[in-house]
Formats: sequence, C-alpha cells, structure tokens
Amino acid sequence: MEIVIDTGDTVPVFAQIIEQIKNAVLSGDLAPGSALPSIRQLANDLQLNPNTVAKAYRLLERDSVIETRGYRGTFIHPDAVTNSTVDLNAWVISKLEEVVKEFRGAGVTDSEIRIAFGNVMNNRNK
Amino acid sequence: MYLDILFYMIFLSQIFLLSWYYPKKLRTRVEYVFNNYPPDKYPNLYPRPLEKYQRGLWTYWNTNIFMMIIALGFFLLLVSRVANGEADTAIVVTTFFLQFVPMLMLEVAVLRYYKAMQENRTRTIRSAQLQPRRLFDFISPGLLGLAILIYFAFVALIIYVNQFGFSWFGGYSNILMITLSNLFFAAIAYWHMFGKKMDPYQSHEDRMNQTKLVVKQMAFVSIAVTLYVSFNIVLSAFGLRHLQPMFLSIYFQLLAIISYQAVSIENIDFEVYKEEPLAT
Repeated sequence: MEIVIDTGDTVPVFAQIIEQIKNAVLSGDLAPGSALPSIRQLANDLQLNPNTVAKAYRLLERDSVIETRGYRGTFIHPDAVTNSTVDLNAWVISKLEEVVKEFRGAGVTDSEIRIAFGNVMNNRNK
Repeated sequence: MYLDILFYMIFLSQIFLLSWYYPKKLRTRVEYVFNNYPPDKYPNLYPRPLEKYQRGLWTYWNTNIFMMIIALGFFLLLVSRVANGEADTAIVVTTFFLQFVPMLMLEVAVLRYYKAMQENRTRTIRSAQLQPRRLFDFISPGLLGLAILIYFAFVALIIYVNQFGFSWFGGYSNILMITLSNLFFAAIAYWHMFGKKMDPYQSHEDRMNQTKLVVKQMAFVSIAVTLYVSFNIVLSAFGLRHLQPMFLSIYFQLLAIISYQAVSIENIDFEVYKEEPLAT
C-alpha cells in the first residue's frame, strides 16, 4: 500500500496523510490490526519533518483510526472502518455554521462574533 | 620456500583483485549506464553534466592504475626480501590502504551525486510504502544467528586464551574492538534500513534490494572480521605468526569481494529516472 503526498498542494501534508490512511482503511487496503511504519521511517521515506508525521498519527490516534501498542509499533484500530467515516473537522465546521447563523439571526455583527470567538479560544472571559 | 611462493601469489592476487579486476568491473558497469541510459532520455540520472561523471570515472580508474603500480613496487620489495620478512605484514597493510583510496574517493563521489540529485529535484510529489520494515525483511535469521554465534564463540576464545598470559595477547581489548566494529556494521545496516532515502527517484523494490544487499554485506563483513581476528590469535598461539601476512592478504581480498557486490544492473528500474523533473 503506497501513500503519495504533494508538498506543493494547498492541503497541509499532515491532512493528506490522514486522508489517505482513512481512505485506505475504508477501501480495505489497510485492514484492522495491520502494522503501520514508524513515524521516523515514514518521515524519512517521504522526506518530511518527523513532527509532521507525528501530528498526523496523533490525530488518527485521537480519532481511533490507529492505535499505538508501546514498543510493538502502530497498528490500524479494530474499529477503524467505522471511525474513519467520522470527520471531526467537518463536524466542527457544521456546528460552527449553526451557531454563527443563530448569532447573525440575533443581530450580532461578524466583527463581534470574531472577537468573541477569539476571546473564548484564548480563555479571556474566564 | 613454497610458503613464500604461495604468499607472493596471494599478494599478487590482492593487487589484481583490488586494483584491476573489481575497479574494471565497476568501470564497465558505469560505462554501460552511460551508454544505455543517456542524459537526454534519463535526465534524472544526471544531476550534473555527463562529462563531469565521465571525468570522475577516468580519475577513479587511473588512481587505481597508479595504486597498482605502487603495489607492484611493494611486491618487488617483498620478493627481493630487503626487509627480511619482518615487514611483510606492514607491506600488505600499506598496500591495502593505498588500494582502498580510490574506493573512498568513489564513496565521497556517490554521496555528492545523491546530494546533487536532491538539490536538482523540483517535483513536490513523494511516495512511501505504508508497511513497517523489519530486520528479517532484509536478512535471514540463519545468517544473523551465524554472525551472533561467531561473535560469542570469539568472546569464549578470548576468555580461554587470556588464561595463558601470552605476552603478545591483547586480552579483553580484543572483545572491545570486535564489539565496536560490530556496532559500527549494525549502525550502517540500520541507517540503510530506516534512514533517509539517498536517491529520491529510486523505486521501492530497488531500495529494498539495495538494502538487502547492504545488510547481508554487513553480516558477512562482521563474520569475516571476527573470524580473521580469531584465526590470527590461534596462529600466534601455535607459533605460526609468520603466516599472518598471507592470511591478512586473503582477509583483505575477502573484504573486497564482499564490498564490491552490487545489485544486478538488469534488475534496476531505470524508468524512474526518465521523467523530466516537474516544476511547481
């Protein structure tokens, strides 16, 4: 199973890795329990910074698409097929769209929404 | 007398193998690539103009010839018995190191070649296999086991010989030396298995074949080094130190035979070098 990335693409490299691993899981190319290369190996093969691959692996692990079994390495999660269909990024966007629509309906300006969002993200209101 | 003649023949064989036979084989291989995979059809294979590589090959070949002439001078020194046999080991070692100089030059040139390839690469598309590489993908458990077994047999030999307190015996420093050598060989194997891809265009199959060859070479070199040092100790223990130069020369030839092994050119995928680099 080959992974192909384009460093010139507008999509960040870590997102390309995530998308391709999820697609491989959904197409059956990567079965649950299959071993994945180590972060260092994949980073060296793709001539990338190991942090980029580590970020992709971290997010895939968060989504339970992959799992790390200590020194034995990284493997495809037993529930990876189901979990690969969940796109947290798309879910966040749809939720935000709902909230923003509600705010606008209540007469809040875009500028106020941005400032409030920034404050919430930076925990300024706490 | 017969032993002397045998030694001279073995030393001549060293000169021939290291300065003529293998360099000629390598030169023929590179010329075959130049002729059959020219820059106009395989631009990725030539990050710098072809003339530069032809000049490099010429320098490599002529340095070998020059070293061979010096080595033949050493051979005459041996035959004339000017040094009365005492300097035989020094002559064999010096000759080997001189013969090794072109090989070192070649290694440096190869590193520069790959660096130029990386610099020239404008393509932004990269690929990798989503499978972990494991040690036994590259070496059989039998060969690795044999190398480990020989190492432990060597340790046992050192412990055994150490009891006799021979004045010439280096003691446990032999174990340290061999352990460090083996760690060095293991590091080279590891670097090839998991390290950065040197040739950015190389196909996955070619890389795997190349890595298999290097890992096997390292195992064989480890076995050869350990066996040679063990054999040397045994020769000394039995009062046969005068045979050391002969076995040293055989050992150097064995190292050269292992080191000069290369993946068959017919099995290399040259199509990957065909594509014009894409500007992004």
